[in-house]
Amino acid sequence: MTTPNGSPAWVRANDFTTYGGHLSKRNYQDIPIINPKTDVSAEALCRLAADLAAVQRTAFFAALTFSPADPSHPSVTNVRLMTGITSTPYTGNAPPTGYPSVAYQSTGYYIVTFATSYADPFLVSGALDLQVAQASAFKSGVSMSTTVERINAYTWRVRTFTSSTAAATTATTVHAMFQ
Amino acid sequence: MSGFGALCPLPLRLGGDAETGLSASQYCRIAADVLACLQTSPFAAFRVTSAVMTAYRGWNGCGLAHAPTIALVTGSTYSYTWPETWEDDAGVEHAVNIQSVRVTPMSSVLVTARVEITAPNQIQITGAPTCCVTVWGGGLERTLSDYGAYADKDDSKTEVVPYAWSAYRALQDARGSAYTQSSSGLVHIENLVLARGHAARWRDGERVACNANPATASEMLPDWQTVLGVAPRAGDTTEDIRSRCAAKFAFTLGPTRQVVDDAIAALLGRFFVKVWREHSEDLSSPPALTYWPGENPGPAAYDLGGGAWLSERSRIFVEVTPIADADQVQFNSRIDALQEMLDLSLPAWETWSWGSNADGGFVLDEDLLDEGTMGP
Repeated sequence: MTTPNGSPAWVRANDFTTYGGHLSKRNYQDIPIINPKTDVSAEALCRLAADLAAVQRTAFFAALTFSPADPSHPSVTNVRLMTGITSTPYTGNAPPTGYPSVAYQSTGYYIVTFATSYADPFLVSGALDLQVAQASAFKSGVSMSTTVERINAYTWRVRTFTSSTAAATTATTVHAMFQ
Repeated sequence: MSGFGALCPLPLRLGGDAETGLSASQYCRIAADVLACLQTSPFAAFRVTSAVMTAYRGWNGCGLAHAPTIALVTGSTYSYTWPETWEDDAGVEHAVNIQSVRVTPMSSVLVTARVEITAPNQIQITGAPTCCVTVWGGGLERTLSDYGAYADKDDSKTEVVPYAWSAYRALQDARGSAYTQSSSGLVHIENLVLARGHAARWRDGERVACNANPATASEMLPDWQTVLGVAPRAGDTTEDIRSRCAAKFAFTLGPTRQVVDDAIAALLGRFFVKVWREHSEDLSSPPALTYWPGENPGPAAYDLGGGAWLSERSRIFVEVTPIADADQVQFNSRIDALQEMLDLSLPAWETWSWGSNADGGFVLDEDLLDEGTMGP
């Protein structure tokens, strides 16, 4: 079995050499491509490698949507991870294997917890270190605001408020993304 | 063909089996997905605590050394300024061109943030000195051709077995049993070097042959463009130029039915559906609007002098796929090229039109009624 180079994308440690790039990459004997319809030049490969290296540094690890059910745990309705996607709703405190938990704490206050590490399709594991999160909330007829707080590399708080009163408020839907 | 290893140096020749090769369809999928991810990927994401950068990830690198400079503007407004350009891993510079920003304050109580893009390389955030920020707009504008991926990419049919491997085995056979056939040591190295040299010459010959045909030309493509009189257009990719040159070259064989159909298909690529010839070749059953003086005179209004001469027989209709807005530029470029090619190459008595349905007729409007046609 072949083990891929480098680390999974969410570790953010790969550079273009991981993907075969090299500052001096060249076609053998500097001969141009033979048939553009069937060949890939060193230049094109390096461009692909460099762009992929850039993308994997900032790509979101997770984007999820949940429907609060305060004071019960919310229903997580959609999760898109670098390691998998599910649109089958689950109760936030009982996630299926490989998916994050979303636990109710108090009105408009939830904790999203991921695993400490994940494995890619080649079973190469990489530790998760989420540094940035974005969140938004929706409730019909109410202007909502959100805040986030990082607890640790794999755990975040998400809070929802009524914008006009600053009161913690249960939203209808919350969207959150993590990088 | 196997595309990797000592016996098959770059350029990568697509094809081969799943274990040792990379097919054209696989490579095109890689290129298309990288392009898709690139187009929505943020340029940078960072976290600040009390206006001090605490974490940064960007296309330009991960770590605080790559982070923008923070400066207090006034009150609770801070500016975040990147250098005007950033350098990718391959050493190519790109302009920072921030297009979109998302800010979520980090707090246990409500904090409202306001964000403004104040320059292509600068944003200002008010009200949230502790927040998470995601920024889009790193200035990478790519097409598939940047990755050498084309709609007509194909597995190599010539170097199915690496030339160098064939030469290597031939050398081993020629040297006979007196020389070791071990895959290490001086004999192996000498065989490998000689084999790669032979392979390079075979590839040279194949490259000359490919450049002799505009459909597969690379180095000679600019010369083909000049010889065939294919004018460049804004936004042309190499694939666009090659397909136009190939289509025009095909007409050197004369505008036969097959040549016309093949040239149109080659030019339009993925936008092509079918070429329709609306009327049969039965000369005893002329189409409705067939007029010639004396035999079947037409309306006086159709007479340009000497009587009306009209026939619908010599007419082709080019059916194209309905297109997405994202394809509009390339589609328009291909249709422009189609009009030029058919105008120059078809006989004067043959007419043609195009549309996205097979009813014939003419395209009424591009914006409101897409490329559907309205027939007579």
